[in-house]
Amino acid sequence: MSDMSGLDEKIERLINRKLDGELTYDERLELDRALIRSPEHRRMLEELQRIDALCGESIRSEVEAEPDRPEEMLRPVAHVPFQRHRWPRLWWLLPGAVAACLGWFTLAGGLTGVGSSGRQGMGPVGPMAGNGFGLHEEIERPGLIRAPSVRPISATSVPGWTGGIRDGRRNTGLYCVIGSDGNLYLIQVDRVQTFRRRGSASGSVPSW
Amino acid sequence: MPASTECDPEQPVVEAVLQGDRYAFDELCRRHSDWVRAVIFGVLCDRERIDDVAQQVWTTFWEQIGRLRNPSRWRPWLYRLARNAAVDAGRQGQRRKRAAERVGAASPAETVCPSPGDAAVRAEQHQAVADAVQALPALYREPFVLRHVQGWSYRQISEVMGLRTDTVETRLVRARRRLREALRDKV
Repeated sequence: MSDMSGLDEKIERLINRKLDGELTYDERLELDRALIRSPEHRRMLEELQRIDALCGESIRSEVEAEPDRPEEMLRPVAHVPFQRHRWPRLWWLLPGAVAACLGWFTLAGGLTGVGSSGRQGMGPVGPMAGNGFGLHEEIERPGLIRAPSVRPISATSVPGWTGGIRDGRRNTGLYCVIGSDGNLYLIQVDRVQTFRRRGSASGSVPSW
Repeated sequence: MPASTECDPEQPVVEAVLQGDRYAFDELCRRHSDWVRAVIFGVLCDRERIDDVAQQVWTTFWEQIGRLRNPSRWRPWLYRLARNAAVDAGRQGQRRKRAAERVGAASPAETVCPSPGDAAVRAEQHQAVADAVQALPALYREPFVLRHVQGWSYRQISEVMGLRTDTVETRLVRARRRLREALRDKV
């Protein structure tokens, strides 16, 4: 092998490039022509292919590492116990109580916003002689009644009505009431003011 | 392995390792342990010591990667680490004696052949091939092992080893020439 001719060395290099996948197109054509012409070159190619395969197999078997053990591939995972959320059995009590209170206040006129905490005993609106507003007697549920044809009357123009600040709660709206004289009155309730019944602790009775 | 270091897909992983990311380092080890082992085998030719030397190489890599000035050149740097570690380990033991003992003890179990005669032939061939590879000069054996383990091109091998492409090709040609001479009439 040491006295190999120049052509043999060139063909040997082409065969090596073929084994390594480095042949160019022209080199592949040149090698194919040489292999067709020379049986010796074909023998060289077959020997190198066989030796290359055996050496590759031997080297890979030597170099390959042992596969990782399955237990080493597992990573510890923090286990958090599953906690099932349970609603209390009597969970409906609180919303039920709130709904009942709201309903009671609605029925009792507690959301009308007229008057103060001392609305009890209110007498009819209008000229009266100190017997309260009576709203709850004349109009159980005044609600909000709009009467654009009627001149709105501010509370300050109603004789006997005095203004006052009602414990900070807001009440607004026009209320239609019928006085004892049969007149229709519209009362505009201020947001921060309410009207007390004269003579009472929380309100004052207008003297109509 | 990319043909050019400028578009290296491992660059983000290497940068994460530079930041001290242990997970990125483990991933880099997993991806590139084969060719590091091939480099070590190319120098040592001793399978039993590959694991120890490889572990030492990766430990040194982790400890000293901060000193790497150009992170894009991490492959040639890792190759030099592996080669130097293998050379140091090779000076300490008797490579050929251990390799011969391992081949002689393992060959009967490795082959699965229908007849005892075939098993003996295969074992003899395997030993001859292993001896021939071990007998190669390290200069020729290193690129030959990298070519067979990783399937790298001439350009990739030259980039890692810091050689010219023509030099890599020449060494592979001479390696196969010597193997052909050593294994003539044996395989």
